[in-house]
Amino acid sequence: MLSIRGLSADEAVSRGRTQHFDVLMELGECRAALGDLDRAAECYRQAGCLEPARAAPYVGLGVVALQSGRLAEAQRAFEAAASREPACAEAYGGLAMVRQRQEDYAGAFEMHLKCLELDTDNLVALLGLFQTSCQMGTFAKVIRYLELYLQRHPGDTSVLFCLATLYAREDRLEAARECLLSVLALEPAKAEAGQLLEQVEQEIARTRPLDALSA
Amino acid sequence: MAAGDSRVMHVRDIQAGPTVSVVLTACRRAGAAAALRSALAQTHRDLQVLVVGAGEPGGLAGLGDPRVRRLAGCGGPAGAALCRGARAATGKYVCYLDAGAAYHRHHVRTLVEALEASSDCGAAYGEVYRTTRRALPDGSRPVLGKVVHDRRDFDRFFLLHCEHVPLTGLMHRRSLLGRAGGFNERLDRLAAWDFCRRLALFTDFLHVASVTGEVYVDVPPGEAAPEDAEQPPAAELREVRSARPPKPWPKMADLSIVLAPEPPAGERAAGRIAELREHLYVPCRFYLADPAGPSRPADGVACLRVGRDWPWDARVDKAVRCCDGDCIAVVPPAGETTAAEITSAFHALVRHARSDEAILLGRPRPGAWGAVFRREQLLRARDNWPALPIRRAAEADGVVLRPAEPDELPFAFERGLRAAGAAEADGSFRQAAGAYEALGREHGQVDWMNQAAAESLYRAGRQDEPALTLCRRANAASPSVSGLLLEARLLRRNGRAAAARRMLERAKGILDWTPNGKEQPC
Repeated sequence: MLSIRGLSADEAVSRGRTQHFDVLMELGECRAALGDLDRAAECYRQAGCLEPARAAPYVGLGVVALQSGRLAEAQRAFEAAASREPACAEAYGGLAMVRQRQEDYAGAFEMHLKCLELDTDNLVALLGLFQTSCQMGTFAKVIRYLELYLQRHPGDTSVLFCLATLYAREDRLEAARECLLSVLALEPAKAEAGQLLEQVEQEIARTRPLDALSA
Repeated sequence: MAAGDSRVMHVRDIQAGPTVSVVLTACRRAGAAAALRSALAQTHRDLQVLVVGAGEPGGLAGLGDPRVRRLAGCGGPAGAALCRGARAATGKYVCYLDAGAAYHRHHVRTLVEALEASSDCGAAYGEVYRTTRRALPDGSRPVLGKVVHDRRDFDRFFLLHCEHVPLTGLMHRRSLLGRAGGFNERLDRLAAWDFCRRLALFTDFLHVASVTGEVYVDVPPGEAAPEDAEQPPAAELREVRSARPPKPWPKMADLSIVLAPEPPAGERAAGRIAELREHLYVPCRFYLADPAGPSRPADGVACLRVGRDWPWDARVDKAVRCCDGDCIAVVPPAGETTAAEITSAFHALVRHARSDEAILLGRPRPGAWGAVFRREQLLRARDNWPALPIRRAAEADGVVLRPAEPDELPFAFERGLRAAGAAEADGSFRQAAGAYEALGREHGQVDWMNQAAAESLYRAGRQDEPALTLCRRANAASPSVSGLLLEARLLRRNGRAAAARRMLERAKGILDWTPNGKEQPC
């Protein structure tokens, strides 16, 4: 009898079940974006009270603590988020950032990887992984994730440029050249891409006669 | 008159305003104290608050207020308590509040102003939040959300079909109680709907597009909310649909349904009528012209004495002479005419047809036609052309028999909503948004539909500017938590965090409101 309403009563309740939580999370994010970190944290705390099993409020608290430089508190918050929702990529991304700030690059690398396993689209983790790789000098795993990401976002020039850099470091010069040409096709004014392309092409030119001789 | 003068008049009107009786049923649910507090906190002060039942253990604070009168006794169905309270009401207007609901402070004033300004509406209703709360073991009730789930304008046929006017949002002139017959004391879950249905036979309802109260739904941690959309008890539903307050009904045509089965159907005719009654939601009475008719006529069925050798037209004629409805449905002698066909034709006749038209029932078959006529139209045709068969007599008298057009069927708005919802479910958000906007234009539910369209455009992505325009309009006219949240999301997605924050703070203010004052969610 009641099925022809626009929004049924139980639909209304089901929307209502998360509405206050959504408002608090959005408000927390707005306040954080506007630099009002203490009041943002208050919103996240209230949201956490309403939905104690959800990870998102703890991620928010972790981000606020990280922005305020309170690394131990941030770590606790991100760990709380991960324990509530083990598949919460942002929790591992946050832990990675904490470790990176603590200059624990191996730990940061591991957390970035975990984050990307859960969310291959996470650009922040991808770039974080790239940075920690640069610090550690290991690139093989990063390349795989950058390639995966680019399959889904082929026009992302910043990731394309990172990948080109890594290819160049791994002496995969043709692949690096191809990436850089794509970057410049999409963003002709990107000067660092132009410079790197020049270096890569010089290197290709330098190594080609040797290759020919050895053949 | 300057704006300041207008405000002074406004205040004086409130102080000298009419008395409003608030019937508070405090029988079976917790929350009576909060409900009473919300009633006594109204900006309209001239109140008579009638508390039916004892309320919560420990009694009710506020009973010392001279405006409050306690009515004893509570057992029995909800309709009985409502009836007791309504009978004791002496105010010019009456409104209702249940333990487990609350008025916003301007509820009574808003509805009184609406009714005082309206000469043709005896009832008005505001919108009501369905407030979902988590019922924690320590007794606290953090609010999870406040959603208005029905914002539609008054539609008599829709109200007859299902409950769309919330009792918490309703106010009516007390004089209507006597005419509509008050609450049915035997009804429990459907008592409010039954009352509204009967009111709708006597008056139009004015929809005040503003949220003026809330109804609480408490859900235990980890449990789904109780579903109230399930089918109501069949016995109550039958009782509601068979209610017929004393006529005349100035706002609703009464329908007489004539059945003269061919060949005579005997007891099967009673079964056929029972089946039709199960699905007919408009007030009606049956007239059975069957020589082998049932031995014991049911309520609402007049069994007429007709001869076995009477032709079909003669049997129908006899029934038509007995009908007292404003419209008469002559059901085809054979075949399975459905309740939907009867109500569709009836709707087309009373809402759309010219005075010289009658509406055919379903698709006519050779030798077996049926139609809904206006009573006087059919009687005149029979008087003028008694020798002709009924249909030919009607046509000879200038009646045009035609089928109902698709746009004349009832619930066009609901069908449109369904279609838009289906488009959303398919991921066709732009199409859904267009459909919602068109519904708003065609059916006058502009704010509600603007918000629905904005939500679809938000989900479509890359449509944020038109979405924002629609959402702003809706929020300017009647802001709600959902509308403010949507506007904030659109603003934030477009980098306008400060404006988004303002929207969200308004939304949070609404969510934090309780009749006990502001509370932290936990």
